[in-house]
Amino acid sequence: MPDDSAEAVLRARGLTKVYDRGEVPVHALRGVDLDLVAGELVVLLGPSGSGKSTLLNIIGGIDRPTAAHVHFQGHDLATADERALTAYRRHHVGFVFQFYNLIPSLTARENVALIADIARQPMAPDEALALVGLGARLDHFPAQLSGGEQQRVAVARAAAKRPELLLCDEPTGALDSRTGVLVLEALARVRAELNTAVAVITHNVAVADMADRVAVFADGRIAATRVNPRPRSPGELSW
Amino acid sequence: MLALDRKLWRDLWHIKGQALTIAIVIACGVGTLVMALGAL
Ligand SMILES: Nc1ncnc2c1ncn2[C@@H]1O[C@H](COP(=O)(O)OP(=O)(O)OP(=O)(O)O)[C@@H](O)[C@H]1O
Ligand SMILES: [Mg+2]
Repeated sequence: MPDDSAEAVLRARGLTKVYDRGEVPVHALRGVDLDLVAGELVVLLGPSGSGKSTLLNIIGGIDRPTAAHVHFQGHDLATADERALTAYRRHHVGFVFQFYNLIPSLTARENVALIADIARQPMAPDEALALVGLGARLDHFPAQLSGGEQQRVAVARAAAKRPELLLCDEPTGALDSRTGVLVLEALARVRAELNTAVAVITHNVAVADMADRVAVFADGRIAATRVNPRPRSPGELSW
Repeated sequence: MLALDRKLWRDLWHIKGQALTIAIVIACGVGTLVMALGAL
């Protein structure tokens, strides 16, 4: 969904991905165009297997496209080497996944510090955790936090490097409505604070109400795109 | 200390029993080898 009006942070064109292992090749993406704009929240909807995660992994530099141009700050990720992709992920991309992937033997603060240690101009871990509303739980281990709190630590960890892109694959997938709203509020606060481009994959149609733009996937393509005239704040959502 | 180093030490402390056991087994092996070579 090209958007030529605003300057895109990331510009993907003609994204295709074919998984060629196994007997029949799987066409996970069949020509996707997507722009991510600073400070904008895009929600990606669509049925299981439609290619949402594949897209997010490619624009996050975790996976490689079969064919595409993916422009980020004058570089093309599609032709970048492994070292360049690693640097891109490290300095520019924050990830949040459905399962929080925190390190069990480190506290909330240390989990965030792990990223702050290798980032260029990181936020202080305490500051990042305060941003997601966990300023009082700094020294708790993941096992001492609820799922929603762990996910907010994951959001703080992703935000600590001040990424240009914050990519979230079903961040509320394992959470109930009330807890999920807290996580979405954390994402919204990170976006407001850092002017990050945010992309959120969800199966939860209610989440689309907080988006600036919604892209609906079907069978490896973006089947529909709509701009939300009045995005709601996360606090107004429930499901 | 980097958070990653802290993780390393903390994880090592968690498996200190196993780590110690492995160290003793290796020490025994090396000791046996040294004795065997010395007896030649
Ligand atoms: N590593 C892989 N090897 C082969 N096929 C894969 C691989 N990863 C994904 N696929 C296939 O690519 C297609 C798209 O998968 P993808 O994970 O992007 O879907 P999705 O939209 O994220 O679905 P969900 O909502 O269930 O997470 C699926 O048909 C899937 O089976
Ligand atoms: Mg997925």
